[in-house]
Amino acid sequence: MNNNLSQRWLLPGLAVVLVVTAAVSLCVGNTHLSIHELWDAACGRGEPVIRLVLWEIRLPRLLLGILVGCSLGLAGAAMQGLLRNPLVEPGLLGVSAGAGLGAVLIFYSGFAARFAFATPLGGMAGALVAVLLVCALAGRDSSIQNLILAGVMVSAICGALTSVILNLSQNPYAAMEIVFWLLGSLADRSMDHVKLAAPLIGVGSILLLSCGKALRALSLGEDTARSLGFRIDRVRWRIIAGSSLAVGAAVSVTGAIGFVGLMVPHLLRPWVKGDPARLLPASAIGGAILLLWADMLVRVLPTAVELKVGVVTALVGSPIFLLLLIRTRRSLF
Amino acid sequence: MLEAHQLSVALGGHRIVHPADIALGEGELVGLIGANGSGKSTLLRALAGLLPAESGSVSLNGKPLYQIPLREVAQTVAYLPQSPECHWPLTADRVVALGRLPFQGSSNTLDTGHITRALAAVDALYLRDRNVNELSGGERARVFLARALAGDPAFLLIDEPAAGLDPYHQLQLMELLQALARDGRGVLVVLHDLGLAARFCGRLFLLNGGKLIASGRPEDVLTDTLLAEAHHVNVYRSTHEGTSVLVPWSRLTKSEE
Repeated sequence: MNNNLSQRWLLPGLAVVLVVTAAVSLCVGNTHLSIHELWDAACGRGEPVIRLVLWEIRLPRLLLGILVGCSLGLAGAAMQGLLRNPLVEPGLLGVSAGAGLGAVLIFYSGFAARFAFATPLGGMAGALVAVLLVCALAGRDSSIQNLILAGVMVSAICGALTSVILNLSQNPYAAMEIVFWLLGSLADRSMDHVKLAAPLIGVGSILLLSCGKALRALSLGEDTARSLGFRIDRVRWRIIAGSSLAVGAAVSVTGAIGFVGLMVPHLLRPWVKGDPARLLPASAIGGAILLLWADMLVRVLPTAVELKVGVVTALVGSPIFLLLLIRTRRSLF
Repeated sequence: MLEAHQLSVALGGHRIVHPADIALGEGELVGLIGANGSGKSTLLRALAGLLPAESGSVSLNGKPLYQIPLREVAQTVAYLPQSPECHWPLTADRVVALGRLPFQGSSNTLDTGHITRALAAVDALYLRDRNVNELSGGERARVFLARALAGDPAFLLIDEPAAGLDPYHQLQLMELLQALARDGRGVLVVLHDLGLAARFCGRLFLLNGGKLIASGRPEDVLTDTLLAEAHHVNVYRSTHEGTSVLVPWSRLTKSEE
């Protein structure tokens, strides 16, 4: 009874937490705003500087945090469900590394300074090329193992090429800018970044959310899922396309933010009793909450230079990942 | 009727099953036997539509399987693999509920009536809230069989369900399969235990090296000659309570074959 109740109230509960987190996130920062001030600014009243902070800084940052967190959590849950492995993260198929390389190439070529959206567009192009390469290497009717191998290989190549570019960069400021971008951040993004990423993340998320029943069937393995009436090859490509769109767009506008897609599905799995279909929407909301918390943390930490949100998620994520590994080993031996 | 007409199956360019005619009618328990690597599981997967035919065809109630929508096939034919797996810590009722997926629309609600009936049929109602990965071999076998039954299929294709079970649970499982056949379902079961095959199955198909070398009543298939050819064993025969008992007794040497 309690389990049923917790499952029934999980999504509404997460949604409430997200709304509260979003409201707090709008208040927290260099300039702390009260709810009252926020309300006035939202209604077009109050001081112009507060209106500016809300509409031009806090809101784009919040919306991007929600979009990126959703896409990472959702893609992580979908990829874990597809590969039936809780240690899988959404960048496994080379999307994140490809987007990173694409963006870094734009920095290196100097386009980033000339055109504001050159970096995210370069990231998206990089993600697309990486996924197409993975698909071509793995083959149309490939096994999951081939797909993972191709993804790992393409990620390694992209990582190596990114290092080469950093190594060859003659301008130390450009190199620093590349490194900072690669660390992943929600800071200094505008509403235009939100508009750029939102449609792709939206389409990707719809594709992923439509795979719930198939992922549920895949709990029992591919043969059983097919015997239950699912075209697993189609499901596989739908998930690859969906996570590539969502994660590619997310990484392109914020840089690589690790561990959200790995941690969130794992943390929420017990709450959905292991059901991979219910895990999808829960992980989407959970991913947004986690990223907003991490982003609030970087804003309130008294550091001389604001930490990048990707650094915080990695700092929090690594011990959890380690714990996960230990638990998995315990269950194996 | 689930039928294969001159069905051959190849994997990785190698022919695993040579052209064979197989028919499974409703209301019968049929055994598929043969040595390791004789192509039993491959043939079963091809019958379930999980592997493409190299030549020949599989038909369901007279219609070629590939012409029937996957979902419709799934509503009629249930397939249970050898050593079924569950990758997530699902409870038994959730696993059984997966058997209702071919009938579900967009609803997420559990089809509790069918789940309860399926679990009751395998005497596993008391396991419904247990994590399926924490059950014993016998309990798991029954829960996964309930998953296959939850869709109320006309045909059940089951790959080595008795493997790894103790004698009590082997007998329990075979009695259950027999009862399902009596209920009007067609059950095709891959078996290694010749004694169980002889006792419980109405008909047998014997595979050897991918070729169907015999089919028919157990007493016509489980002959010394055919078992020597397919399994390379001598068998001890007896009768108990009017039923023939068959136990593999000794391996045949090359000269004896």
